[in-house]
Amino acid sequence: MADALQRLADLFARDGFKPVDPPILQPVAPFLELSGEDVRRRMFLTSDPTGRDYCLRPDFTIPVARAHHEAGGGAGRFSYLGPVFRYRPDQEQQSEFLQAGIEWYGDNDAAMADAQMLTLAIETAALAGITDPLIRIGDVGLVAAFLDALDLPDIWRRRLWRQQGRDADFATCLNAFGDDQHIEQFPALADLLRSGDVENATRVVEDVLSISGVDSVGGRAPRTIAARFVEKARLAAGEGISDKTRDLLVAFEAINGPHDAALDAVANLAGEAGLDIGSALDTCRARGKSLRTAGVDLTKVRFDCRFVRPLDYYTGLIFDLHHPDAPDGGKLIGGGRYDALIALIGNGPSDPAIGFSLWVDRLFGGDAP
Amino acid sequence: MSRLVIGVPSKGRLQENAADFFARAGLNLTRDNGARGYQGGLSGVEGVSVRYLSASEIARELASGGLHLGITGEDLIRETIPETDGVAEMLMPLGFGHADVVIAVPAAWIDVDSVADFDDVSIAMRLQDGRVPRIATKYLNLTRSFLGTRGMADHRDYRLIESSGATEGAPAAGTADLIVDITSSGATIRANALKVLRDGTMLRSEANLVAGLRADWKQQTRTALMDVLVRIEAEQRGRQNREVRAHIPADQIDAVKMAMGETCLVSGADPAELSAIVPADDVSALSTRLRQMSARRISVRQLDYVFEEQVLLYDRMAALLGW
Repeated sequence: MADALQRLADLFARDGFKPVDPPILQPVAPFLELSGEDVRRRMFLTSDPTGRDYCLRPDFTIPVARAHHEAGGGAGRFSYLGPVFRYRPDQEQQSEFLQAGIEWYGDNDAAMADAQMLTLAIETAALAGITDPLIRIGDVGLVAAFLDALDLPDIWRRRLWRQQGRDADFATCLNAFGDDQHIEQFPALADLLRSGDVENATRVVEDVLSISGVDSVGGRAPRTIAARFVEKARLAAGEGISDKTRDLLVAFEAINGPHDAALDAVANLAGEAGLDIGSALDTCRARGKSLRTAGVDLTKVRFDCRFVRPLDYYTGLIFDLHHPDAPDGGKLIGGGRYDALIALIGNGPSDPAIGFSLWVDRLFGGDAP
Repeated sequence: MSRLVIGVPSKGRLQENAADFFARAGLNLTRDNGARGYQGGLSGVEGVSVRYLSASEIARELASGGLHLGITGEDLIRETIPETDGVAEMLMPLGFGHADVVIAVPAAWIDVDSVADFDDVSIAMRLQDGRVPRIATKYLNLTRSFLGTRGMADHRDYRLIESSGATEGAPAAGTADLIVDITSSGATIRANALKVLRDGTMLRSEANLVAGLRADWKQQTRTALMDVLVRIEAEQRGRQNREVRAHIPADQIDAVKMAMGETCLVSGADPAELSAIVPADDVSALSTRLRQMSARRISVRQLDYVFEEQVLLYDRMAALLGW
């Protein structure tokens, strides 16, 4: 194992990634706010004598990003190797295990950086003797662009976007939010709101709220309340999701196949429906081109439109590498692009950020499937 | 701790209702040092001590093994002991102390009617204002658990602001956006310009007789428990059942016995006298059938106590604790 880890360190160093070692003891708030359910449920928590809450780091991405942000941010390439802590009650897996990986900030050529990172991940797998990993990728930016192009009512846009993180597909989400009977209780008002334009309707409701003495109760301005109320009225009238839109959403999610063919299918679907998702699709294609140039066999790469992560900070590429003999087994390497992370951690502007992490024991530990 | 220790609410309607509950079973609560005392007893059984505590304290003491039995609200049990297995057992709902734990938002949020609306508002608030809604409540565990079943997670979709009193005033004071609180009539909620979400009732609570499984259950405490439960069950059975008597013509005796099963007693010849103990809810239907079978002088009596050989609540405890 030590030999393998040295080769890993050399590989990362070759591409300019500097090793870092952020503290094991981390403030808990960023993980509670940003991590997925699976990580949040398994964290080891503690507190100092003054009552500040900490956790044992469950991953490296947030700690490295915090440290980088506190050191001034900007461009940078970092690698890491060390223990992370996630509660695993079954005996097979221990709650303390090694993770290694890279974090790469500040590179503005997204397609090129994505491709280089993915190539590095493939090389990492090769170090462990896995020369033919199963590669699955998705693109959160493409999903966002598709939803934007459909020009959905805000309520629906939010619901569908949120469903990604809840591991339910669009079809389930569309069926779950069926009939909202709320507005039916105010038929006269609802009719009035539907008869004029949205702006006027919103001002009417806002005025009524102000007349009734509502100032800014519970942190929502009358304007915000009015806008959402009007939107609900219009949705109840049937200005919701048309059957055509529903079909497009379901068709989009179903696209899952070899990289180029899948992107072609997305392009066709969007083209036929007159949807403009140009720039997001261009990024995917440019990334594909860079991958091909780097020698990656794209026929072996699956592009899956339903592949998402239950995390808010991913903004573009996401990928997993699996052992070819165990497609449903634990992933060996996983990563992606999370441009929103720095902004969420630092409450400031966002910064391009990509990275991947690998399960050291699964890759190098000899407990191959 | 060889005495059976029972936690009883120390003041208010809960205390009065608890006293009535025991008194009906022939057990009278006593209190040392007048109405402010913290200790007392239960006349009618040996080996019992009573501790007068707040309802929340009772829940905590049950959890930590300081009480064998306690009377407290289901809301406090579920909040203090999210996983009751091996810790506490709710033996019996007591029919008083009814209140609901609810999610209430400002009435001015006319666009928010359901928890799904609240979920959507949370997402919108995060996108627009970069923060999530703050919920004032003392029910941290109940709230996390309920909203968790709706797909919402603490810190990511909302924040909890711990509030031990006057929770309803938090939105107006600006310290929270909405609340989770307990309510019986809803009057206080409305008086604070709040409204309950249509599907926002998290728990319909009432007072319960609760057993603490972590207490030291020595032999003497089990004996005292049996004495207490015998009377409580007898009172409950008495309350829930009625004695029905009737005169049955001789030629109907077999038919009546078939219809009523083994539990009825028929004595005498002609007319024979039927005597049976039946659930109160079944009395109407039963008297109709008896009249159809030519029964006469059908009388129905309320019962004070019905003692049976098996004490079901004791058996439950014995099974749980391996006695």
